[in-house]
Amino acid sequence: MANKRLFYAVYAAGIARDGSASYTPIHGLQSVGLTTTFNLEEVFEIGQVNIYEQIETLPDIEVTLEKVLDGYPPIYLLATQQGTSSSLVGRSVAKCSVALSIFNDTNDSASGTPNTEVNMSGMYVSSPSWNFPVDGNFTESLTLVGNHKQWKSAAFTFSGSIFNNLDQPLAVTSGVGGVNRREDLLFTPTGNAWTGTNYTILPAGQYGGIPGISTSGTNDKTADVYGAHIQNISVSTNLGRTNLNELGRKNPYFRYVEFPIEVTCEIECININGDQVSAAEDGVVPGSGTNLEDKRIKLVCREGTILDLGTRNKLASVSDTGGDATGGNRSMTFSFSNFNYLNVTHVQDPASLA
Amino acid sequence: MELFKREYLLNRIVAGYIPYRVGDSTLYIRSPKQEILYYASEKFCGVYANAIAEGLMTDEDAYAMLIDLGMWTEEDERRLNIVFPRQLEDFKELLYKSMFNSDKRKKYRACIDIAKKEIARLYNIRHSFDHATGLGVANYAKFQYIVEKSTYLPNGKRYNWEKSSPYLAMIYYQDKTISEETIRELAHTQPWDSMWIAGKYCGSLFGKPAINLSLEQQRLISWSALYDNIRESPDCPSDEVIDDDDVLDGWLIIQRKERESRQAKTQGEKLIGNDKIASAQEIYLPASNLEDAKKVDLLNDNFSRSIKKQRFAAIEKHGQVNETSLPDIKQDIMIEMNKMMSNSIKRGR
Repeated sequence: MANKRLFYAVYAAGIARDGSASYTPIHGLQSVGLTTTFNLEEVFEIGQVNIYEQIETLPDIEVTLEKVLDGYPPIYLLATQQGTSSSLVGRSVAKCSVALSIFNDTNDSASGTPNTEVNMSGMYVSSPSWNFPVDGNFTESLTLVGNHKQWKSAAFTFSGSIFNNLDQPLAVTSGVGGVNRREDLLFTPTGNAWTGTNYTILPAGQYGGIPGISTSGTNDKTADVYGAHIQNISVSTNLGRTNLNELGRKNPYFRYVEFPIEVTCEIECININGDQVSAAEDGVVPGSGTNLEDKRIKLVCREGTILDLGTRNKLASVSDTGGDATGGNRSMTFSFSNFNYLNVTHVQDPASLA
Repeated sequence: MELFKREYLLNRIVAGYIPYRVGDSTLYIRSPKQEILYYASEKFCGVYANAIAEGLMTDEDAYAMLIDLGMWTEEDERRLNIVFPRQLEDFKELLYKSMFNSDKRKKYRACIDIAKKEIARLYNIRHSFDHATGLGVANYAKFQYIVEKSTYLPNGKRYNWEKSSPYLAMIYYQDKTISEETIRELAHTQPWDSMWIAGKYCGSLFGKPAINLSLEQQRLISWSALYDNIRESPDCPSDEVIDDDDVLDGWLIIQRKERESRQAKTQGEKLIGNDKIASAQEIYLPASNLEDAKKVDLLNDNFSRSIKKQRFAAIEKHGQVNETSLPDIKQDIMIEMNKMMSNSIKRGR
């Protein structure tokens, strides 16, 4: 298809349960990317050089949304309201609809009211990811895939408050910070109403963990200095989706996830005493013959987002960069992975899944 | 304009004064010195403060009065400030783009004339009560002060206005102001062109520092510098374009829009940190009002803009449109099918 890139001004974006026409607005939205691919298939016949028929098969729609973590429910939770539990498996069955309210031709418009809408229904979660950088805002990015996209001139119904230029992070109005940044990753329980006694747990130091992290997974302070100087954390997974088709229907009746699904977590920290990861033929973990132990990972943000990656995360690789002649700190990136375990909860989850 | 007329006007600008004949004698209204301009501004501030204290109308009051008298509407205000200036820009742009189509050029020139006349007509109505507003009174006092303090006798002494009114001299001075079109013509034609080039090598053009230049001298230099920049541009238009103010304006508008679009693109791409979103076909950026939406729209190039226009037209016409029914998508599918067809024929050979 032709290579083109269109920029639209979007006034509001919302997500609804599949089949519902009432969209919950996505607050703190930063940008949206949408790609549509049309697939054509040619049919030939014996005795003819020309194509017998060109069949237009299902178009693939891929939409990626990115928002800051601000106290409003993450997009992943809005998109999986029909899930059965907060686990990756429980949320993988859910479908949703996405609506974008966009400004029409800005040159001819005088009212300043967005008057065109684009709607994608039957969308499945394909790839959620979260970034916790040392510089900048904590963000969530979610890719949804589907096969149906429609444009219309009438307005969609958005439930709840829509933007009126007075919108601000729910975390601000609820007294649990604002748009979360580095200081908002909780290494100790704050006791605020949204995170309660929860706090971040990182892979403990020995046998494939992060140096400086205590055996219970806490990043403890000694004389006001953290044990590990964490720089960036990113969590991501890719559900991939395979169409399940049936006779009598063009669209797939389900797009299943090909389990097992790998969930990765990359943790970058400043290199103080090396990675302290040992690798030996007979293993270094006493009595096991292995070099690595399963680790627990749980990330807790002040605004209420909790990512629980379970207790069976294993170090997949560790790399050491920086510290060259041009200056800069040496940093280590620990890459952990588990299979099928990613529990995402938020106090504002519209489906209140646990 | 003939060469002798240009010579006359240019000499007047260089001399920096206008002779004003009263009966048998001649007075000289010189370009105001910096000191006079300073006191004139002070006078303006004083008169304006007094006028407001005495309850003279503000511009808002004059606007309300025009509406009360049925002379003006909100739509007129929009037409004066938004619609016609925008149309004027659009027509100038189209005029430049239709340089090789004389029929269209004629049509666009007529449209430009109408837009200019309409702007002038609306402007006159909108400012018909200016003389009665605080700003109007203060402006008049400032101008009167400048003319009074800048009028000299042939012997070089300042003229004393105590026994007469400077009113006629003010009108005369104002009438003699050189229009923008004339200054533009002077700026890129002979004899000024040679003087300007010589000035670049020899230094000062008018024999005085920039701060002491008359307003007309400043305007002449500004336009000359602009014409220099145009000639040095890698996309320099032809002389035919440079000689025609409206066509050249069209070229300048296009250049400005391209620059704004480039700037917005760079800025916008910095905003999209997510690689997946940055490489998507359609990128949606939040905008809470029309002004922000316009900035987002600047990120599109002309091709993308025309696609959006087609799409919106189709959506407006049908109310509800599937992706495959959008005009550009239909075309894409058709191209793809033709490509497959031609490939199959090639394979068959």
